[in-house]
Amino acid sequence: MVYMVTLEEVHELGTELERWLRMRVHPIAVKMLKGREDVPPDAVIPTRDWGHKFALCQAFAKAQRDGQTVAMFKEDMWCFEPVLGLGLAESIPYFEEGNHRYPDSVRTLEDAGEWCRNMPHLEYGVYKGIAVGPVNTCSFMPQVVTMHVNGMQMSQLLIVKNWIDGRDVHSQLSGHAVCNYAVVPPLLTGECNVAIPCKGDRRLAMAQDDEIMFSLLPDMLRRGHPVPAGA
Amino acid sequence: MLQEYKDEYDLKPAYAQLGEMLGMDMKKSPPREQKYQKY
Repeated sequence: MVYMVTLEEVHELGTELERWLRMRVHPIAVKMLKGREDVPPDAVIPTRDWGHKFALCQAFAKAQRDGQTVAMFKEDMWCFEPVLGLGLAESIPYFEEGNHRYPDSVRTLEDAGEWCRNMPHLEYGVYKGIAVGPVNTCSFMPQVVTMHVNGMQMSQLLIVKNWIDGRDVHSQLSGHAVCNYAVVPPLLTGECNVAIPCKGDRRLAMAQDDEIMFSLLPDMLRRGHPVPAGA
Repeated sequence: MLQEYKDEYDLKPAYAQLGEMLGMDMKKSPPREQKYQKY
């Protein structure tokens, strides 16, 4: 029988995870939003409440450092890669041809297009937005929990992953668009994921030189513990 | 306009162009370097 973790357990076990790993910042609870009605009541919406846009990595930073819940829709986004990766806008040929990556970050237009077409992405139109918050107090049930960790903490998490089901983590890695690489694959596969902070995450959102991102499904927090009797 | 994005927000013209093609308003930048008032 599959035991579904409750929000109370997410708070409790997420807090335990933070303490056990001695994390510098909170793990980030992530929920995709199908509409405005799904916005958590305590969420800040950047354009509505702050009067400016945000990059998704900055919303991650607000959640993990300040304990702030942030909800973002397409009009709140300043960076277009999560807009495409989360399926908030329909992809266009200009993107898939690699025009924004060539010549600065891929040496041929053809290969730039290859990167763009392979960027993890959700189907267009399924979701309208995303909410992020600290896992220890989030007011919503997360679909994914992602976190900035150092090498030692990553080792511990991978050891726990092996302990739970004996399976290694297979990830698609890139130096770009960490928001997509951290969030989209776990949503698509239901598996853990490792991602590398991108330049935007480092420059705009204070990702540190020694940090990597690990993503897990909330149910895994419980699978590391004995399942309650009768569950 | 694309050069203005570059000057104002350090945003690559190709990024600004793609964002606008996706229907995004690239003129509203996220917060950058903070300028503190004297106190």
